[in-house]
Amino acid sequence: MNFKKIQWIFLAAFALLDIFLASFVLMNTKFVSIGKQQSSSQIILKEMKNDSIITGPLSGKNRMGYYLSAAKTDDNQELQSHQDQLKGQTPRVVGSNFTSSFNNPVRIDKTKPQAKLDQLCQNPKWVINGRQYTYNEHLSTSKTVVYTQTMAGEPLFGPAGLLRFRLNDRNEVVGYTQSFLKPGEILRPRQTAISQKQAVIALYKHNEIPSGSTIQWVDFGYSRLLTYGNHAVYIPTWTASIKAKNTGKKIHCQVNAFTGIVMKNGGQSTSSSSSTYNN
Amino acid sequence: MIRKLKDSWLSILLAIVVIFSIVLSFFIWVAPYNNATHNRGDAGNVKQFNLQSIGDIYLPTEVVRVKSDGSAEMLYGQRDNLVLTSRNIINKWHFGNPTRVSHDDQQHYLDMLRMPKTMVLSYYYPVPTAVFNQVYSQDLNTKRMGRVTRIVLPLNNRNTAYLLNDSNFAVYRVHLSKNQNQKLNSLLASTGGGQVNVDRRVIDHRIYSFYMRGITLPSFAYQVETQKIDNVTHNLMNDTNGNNISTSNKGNITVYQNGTNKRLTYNHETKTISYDNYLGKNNNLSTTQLYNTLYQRLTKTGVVMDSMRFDQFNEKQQAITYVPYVEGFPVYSPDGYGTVKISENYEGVELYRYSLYSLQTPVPTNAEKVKLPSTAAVVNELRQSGKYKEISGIRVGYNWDSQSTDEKTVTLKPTYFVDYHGTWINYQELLK
Repeated sequence: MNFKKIQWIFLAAFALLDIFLASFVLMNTKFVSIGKQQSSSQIILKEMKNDSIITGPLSGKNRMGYYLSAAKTDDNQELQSHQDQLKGQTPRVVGSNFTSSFNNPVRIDKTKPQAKLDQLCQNPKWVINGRQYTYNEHLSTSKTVVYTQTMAGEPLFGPAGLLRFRLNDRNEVVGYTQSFLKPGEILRPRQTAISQKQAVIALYKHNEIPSGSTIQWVDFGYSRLLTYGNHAVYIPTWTASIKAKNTGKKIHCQVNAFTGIVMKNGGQSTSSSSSTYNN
Repeated sequence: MIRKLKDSWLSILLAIVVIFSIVLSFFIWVAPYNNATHNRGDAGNVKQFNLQSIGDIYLPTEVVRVKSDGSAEMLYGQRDNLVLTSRNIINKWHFGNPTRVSHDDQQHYLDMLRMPKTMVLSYYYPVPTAVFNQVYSQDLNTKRMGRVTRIVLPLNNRNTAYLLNDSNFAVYRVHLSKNQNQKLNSLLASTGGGQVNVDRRVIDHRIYSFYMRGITLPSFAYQVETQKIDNVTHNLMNDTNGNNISTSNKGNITVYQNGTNKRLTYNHETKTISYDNYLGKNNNLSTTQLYNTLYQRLTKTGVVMDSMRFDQFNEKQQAITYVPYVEGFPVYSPDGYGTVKISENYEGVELYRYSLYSLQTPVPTNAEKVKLPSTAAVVNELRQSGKYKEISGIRVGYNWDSQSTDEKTVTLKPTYFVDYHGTWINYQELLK
């Protein structure tokens, strides 16, 4: 190996090094954002897979939501004052619930209950303010068809605003229980909210999803964050239904879609009576 | 001689290439804070996800629509969030490279702000073009145009936009492609919110927005989050060496110290923090790097980021002030609540000044709307009081008056603020 060959090799090596260094220096003059958060979510999703957690496809698209104000509690007064408009049923107040029993059961298609029930909701003789509710397949059970009140175009995920149709053994609707939340106002312009994927990651990081469980659904909607005087503040949330592997038991978990903080139901009150948080 | 050169051309080339690599390596080694600054992870952070990325903090704050007769309306409080939604629309457009059309021509500059059928997005203080690129996902040549104060977008079917820089009244023309101007039109037609007539004037080489008929604004209430001081010291002062933080108390003040480099002074009564961090090297950050780096620092302060926006840049102090904004208006406080000022000066000292209070959750309020006088009326009052000469700016904002905080909620009331020797204060305080 003569000297000239060595020189060629060195030339090639340093030329390559120069290209690498030059590109590095040039890149540093650009304003680069941190892509770190993206890759960390990939890592967590992998961890979940290793933990045998089953989930359907999750959207990574950020949503938009509002801070909303509404009444503090359901308004049975509103329903009671309009109950005379209802026909073919017997409405009454039982405790804090407004409930009604149909004089004649209504036949529905079990596979598509909303076909008939949407019609009922549109008719003020059947349901008061029924137009403000939409069918919620995920919250419905074999004995109850659930409709949730709509807030800013999205379903309300508790605690109020539920319309529950009761079914008998012959899969006929015999009546319903209704709670109505008086809508308030939009407090601030729209803001960005976390995506479905980020919501699931938040739940996993907080140990809300045990190994081997199945995430049946993750829905976007509005839930109560806190009460303030006579009002309540509602925020966009992601609600997930998690089915445990061994017991088959299902629990619902909620995530504040503005902050990614997991919300616990049954809020804790602060020492002053002015506000109560739900998380 | 030439033959000798010809014979040893390979050696010469090799020497050049080696020198090159030494020089480049030197650049990389010496150049400070490059792209992704090492994230120390989420140690002690309250929030799970930081939805306020750098592209959100550096969004413009004012939206003006110029009608076909050249009259301008400032829009605020629209439920569709004009600044955020227009960003989501414009992100998909392509801005061609800017060509300078004029500079130092005040009249032409004002004419640009009165161009019919346009939407003007403005910052109070300019941002570097690289930051604009980050916010709007564009790739403008930063050498051609250094800073952006205003963005003039077409609402008719023109394919031209203009980027303006208040500092030298420079106007740059930009060709648009992949644009859908109709989307902006529909956005501006969305309901709700307010609009107020605004007239731009130049006074002492600065552009002022004059509300000719005054402006009526709602009051806003918020739940206030009070950070724990331990959270702050943990986030800012913990280092990898595992040094302990020593504390010393004197009356209302506690001083936390970590080695000789980090010192935090905390006032228990006002709940304000003053943190000094001596980095131990000379800093020569470019303006762009400063905007990036100080944003990173902001995310470590523990303040609630949701309403924070970039407000001002002080070149001499190498400082950026971030301030909460509500519906397009800045929030200022006589006690400095909500404001975060961070600097990293040439001697390598990092300074943070902020308070433990953050605006957290908006809550409904029965507080009355406030009708503010016209800007001209306010200017006149200030002239008569003789204080006008000491003012270098006037704008509408919300006052975070500490007296109304019961430490849990605060009601923000709108008023005019004036830039009095570098601090924004309620003009009524100045008139007292």
